[in-house]
Amino acid sequence: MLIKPTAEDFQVVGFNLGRISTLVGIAGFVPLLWAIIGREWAPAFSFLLMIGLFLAMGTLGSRIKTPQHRLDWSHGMVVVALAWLLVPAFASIPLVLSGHYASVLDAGFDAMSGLSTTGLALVQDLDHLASSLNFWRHLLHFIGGQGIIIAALSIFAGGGAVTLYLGEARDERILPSVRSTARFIWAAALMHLGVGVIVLTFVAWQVLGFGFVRSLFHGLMVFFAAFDTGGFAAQSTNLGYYHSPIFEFVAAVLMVAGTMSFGVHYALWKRRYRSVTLNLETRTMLVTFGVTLLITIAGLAATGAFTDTLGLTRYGFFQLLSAHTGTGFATVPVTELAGWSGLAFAGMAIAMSLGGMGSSTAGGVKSLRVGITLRSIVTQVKQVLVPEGALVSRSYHQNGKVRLTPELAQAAMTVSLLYVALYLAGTAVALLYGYGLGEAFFESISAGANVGLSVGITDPTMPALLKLTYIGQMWLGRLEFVAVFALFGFVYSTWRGK
Amino acid sequence: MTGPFRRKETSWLDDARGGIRSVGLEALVVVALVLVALIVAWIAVTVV
Repeated sequence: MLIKPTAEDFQVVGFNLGRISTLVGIAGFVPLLWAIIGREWAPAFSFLLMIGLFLAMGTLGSRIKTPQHRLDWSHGMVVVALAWLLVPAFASIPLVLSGHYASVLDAGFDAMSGLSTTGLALVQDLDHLASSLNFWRHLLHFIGGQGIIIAALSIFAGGGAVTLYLGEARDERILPSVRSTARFIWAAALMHLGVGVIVLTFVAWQVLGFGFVRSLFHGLMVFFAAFDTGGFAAQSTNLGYYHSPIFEFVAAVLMVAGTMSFGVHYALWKRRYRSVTLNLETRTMLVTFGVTLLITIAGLAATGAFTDTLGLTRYGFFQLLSAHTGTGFATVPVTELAGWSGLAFAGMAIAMSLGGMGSSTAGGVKSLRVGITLRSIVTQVKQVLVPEGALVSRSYHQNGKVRLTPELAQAAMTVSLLYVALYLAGTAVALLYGYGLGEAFFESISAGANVGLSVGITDPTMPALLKLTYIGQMWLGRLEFVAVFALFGFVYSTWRGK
Repeated sequence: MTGPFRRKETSWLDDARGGIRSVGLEALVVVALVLVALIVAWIAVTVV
């Protein structure tokens, strides 16, 4: 029997949504200050409007009588699912008012893409967008990227294990409390922010010959997009704008850092190198990266897109890393990427669909689920081959030895299958509008796995239903289904529950 | 007689060192991956 949510359940959800609105509203003061300093008055007023709405929502939430009931995991799920709809809706206001978007839907698409750290964009004439608005687009990557990790941690540390999420082992506790874990995540982000921005700014300033302020601006933008595996860029030609292997190298380091789980970050900080090398996620990601690299480079060599080793290495490696880490930075034009047919195309698509590590800002199936699935298959095969009655080891390393239970394997496989279904659903909608199978599949994976690479479908002229489909895919992919299912369950039980 | 249990405190300087060291290691990983890609690309160009 479905239990109808009580008034207290709504109070808990409303109260916490209000808190999130207030926080994002406060974050909105940063681009507002940027606009005021840069004398960009029109964006400044649009930021004021947005901040006002966020803070009004926050005030409304705080007016709700402080609920007695503690936020449990199901409330947390509903709050997260609603927050990832509410925040892009309000955050898109300055974008709508900028005049750089063909419609409200296009601005909402970019806001969702920013917050979900995807990187697909429908902005027009990006090269002339006000710098404060460009900054806001990139800041959305940071808010969404760091936010999703904290949200996941807060919910799961407080509420125990949820079957589907067991596949990502998010109930593990590396540090004694959520507070100390969150503090470490922010320390890691700030450390990378400091080092990343300094190095990127230096390269842009001294190597590319930009002015200092311009270098700092580009350094900040690239950092947000790389470390949060986003993929937005300050210029329409994306990272190809810089024409610099050194710049690309620094961005690649940040992309790798962004795709690493906080457990691996923590082990590196504490010099627990053995824990990093034994980690199932590290091993799986290295193997899948190696295999897809081989496929992509062989494919590129076969098509004759690159005839020299250095060019093939630079472009092939960077694009594949961008795909596998879920970043979506492009150093080749969209039309050229669309021409990467056959094996190279397949290699990129597989890398995008697999994604990075769990507890990171990367999207896709995630290395841990891929690793658990593969380990489970190997264990099954071994069980068949060994003599009857012999025991086969069922464990793996994930910040310590973990027993591979049938529930864990089942959960990992279920979420993996849900991702495949998500990729296929987006492909089907694009096919409906007459796009080719290959490009439809590629773009759908890019949206569902929160990557952001495009072969040309994502464009202001694409059908509205397809835009809505990609928005839905970005939302579902980012929240890894469970939070969205919890929201649907909450709505359904409000309607049909007793 | 032993005193009450105390958690080992680490200074912010130790944490900063750990952070910078980990960024350096990430850079080394990317260098290693680029070298692997270079070998793969060289073989691919030579064979194909």
